Amino acid sequence: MSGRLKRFIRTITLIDLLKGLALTGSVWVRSIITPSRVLVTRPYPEVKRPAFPAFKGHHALLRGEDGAIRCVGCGICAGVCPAKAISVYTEEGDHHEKVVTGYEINAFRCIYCGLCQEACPKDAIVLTRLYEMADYDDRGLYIWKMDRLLKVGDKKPLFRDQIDL
Amino acid sequence: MGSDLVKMVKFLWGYSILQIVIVMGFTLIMVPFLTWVERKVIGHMQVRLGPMRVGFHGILQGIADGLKLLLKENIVPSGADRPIFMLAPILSLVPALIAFCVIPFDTWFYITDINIAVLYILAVSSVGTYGIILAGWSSNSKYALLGALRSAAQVISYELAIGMALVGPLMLAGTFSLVGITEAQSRHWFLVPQITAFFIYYVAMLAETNRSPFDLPEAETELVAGFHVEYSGMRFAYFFIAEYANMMLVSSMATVVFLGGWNPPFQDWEAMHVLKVIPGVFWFFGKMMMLLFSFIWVRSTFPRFRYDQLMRLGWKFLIPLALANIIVTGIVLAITG
Repeated sequence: MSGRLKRFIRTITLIDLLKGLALTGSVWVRSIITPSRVLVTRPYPEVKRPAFPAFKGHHALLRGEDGAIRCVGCGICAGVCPAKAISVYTEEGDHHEKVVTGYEINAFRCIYCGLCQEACPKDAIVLTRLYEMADYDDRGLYIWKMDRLLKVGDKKPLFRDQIDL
Repeated sequence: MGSDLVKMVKFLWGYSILQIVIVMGFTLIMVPFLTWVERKVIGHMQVRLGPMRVGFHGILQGIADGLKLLLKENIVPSGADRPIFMLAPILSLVPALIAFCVIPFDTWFYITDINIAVLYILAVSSVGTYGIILAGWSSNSKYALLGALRSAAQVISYELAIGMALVGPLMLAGTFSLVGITEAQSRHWFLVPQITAFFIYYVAMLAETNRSPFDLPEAETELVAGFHVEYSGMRFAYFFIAEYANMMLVSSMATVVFLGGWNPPFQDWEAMHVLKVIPGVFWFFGKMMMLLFSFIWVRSTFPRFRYDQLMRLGWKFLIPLALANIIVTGIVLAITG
């Protein structure tokens, strides 16, 4: 009986409806006073979401201290890659050394697992925190060539605290 | 103010035309502004930002949407009843706009004061429902038809509640004229003695304008967009404008009948007469905007009613409550004279 009475009182005073209104109303008021602390969305191109430290985004090829590419063309990354997204092209140089002439990553095949980065003995290939990979070009350009990967690698502030350079 | 001068000016033809232009223009300008306010407020209540791109904090968003709709193609479905399909949006927009001619915004600002203003508004706003029903019927689409049927049933049910809720204040005022009703509230608003009627009117006006939580005629999850699913371009915009104009109309009605129209609050106390410094128009629009805000607030809070719940609320709760309110008001009036 008292349960029914309680329910009747709840219904007649509209207490549940008022509670709901109070919740949305308080969120609205707080969102006007301190928008940045309440609202979870952000106006994207102006305010970018910082990536987490271990985020694995766009690949980059790093240079050594002399400015030359660190990659020695061993091909371990290509071997370890579960998606077979990496192709390494090498030639014999003037002094019978191995010269890396091409390094390609198929961005559509890559699963961003980061195994190439772990396998690389020279820390030459890394995954940066750069996540804005969309562009207006056609699909053919999603085979990322060496020049693009080196260009990303030169933007070092993006992953300075992630990789010991 | 020099009332003789005001009376003289009122008789001039030009003054009414100017008023009509101002009221129409204001209503139509308020629509894009209201859509922006609605999206912004709902966005903030749902912890989002809402429109941010067009103008300062997206304030021109409504105008951008309107321009887009103007430039869009008007598609008529191949199986549609063409003349009715083209008539329906006009039939839903025009009543919503012409009803504004009896709303008194201030002592000196109303287009006309007819002695059956309340009946006029009730009659004209029922014509607006024909727009919805004909739109659903002529679209040759099952979603549109279902939406229109729901709308017809809903509006018939809740118009009774609205009419009966208005009887209480009308008994207190002793007149059907909206100016007369407002003047009867110059000391205290009808909100206090008629709080039950106000509650009924508020719920019924949400249903009457097909707003959430009674937005069954356009329930997105069930009917795509309900009665206007087949409409595009400017004809769709007509329905949109009509919805917002109706929102403003029922809010103005609630302001006039329950919240004292242009009268400032607490006029029983001598001390509160200083509030009359603020012109009546501002009081009117302040109250109207608060009601419109509550529409948005309610929309962002409550889920949609089920069809049987909607009918049960209307017929088994609101209408008996309204009848009881009429009887009690009548007894009290008979005793106090």
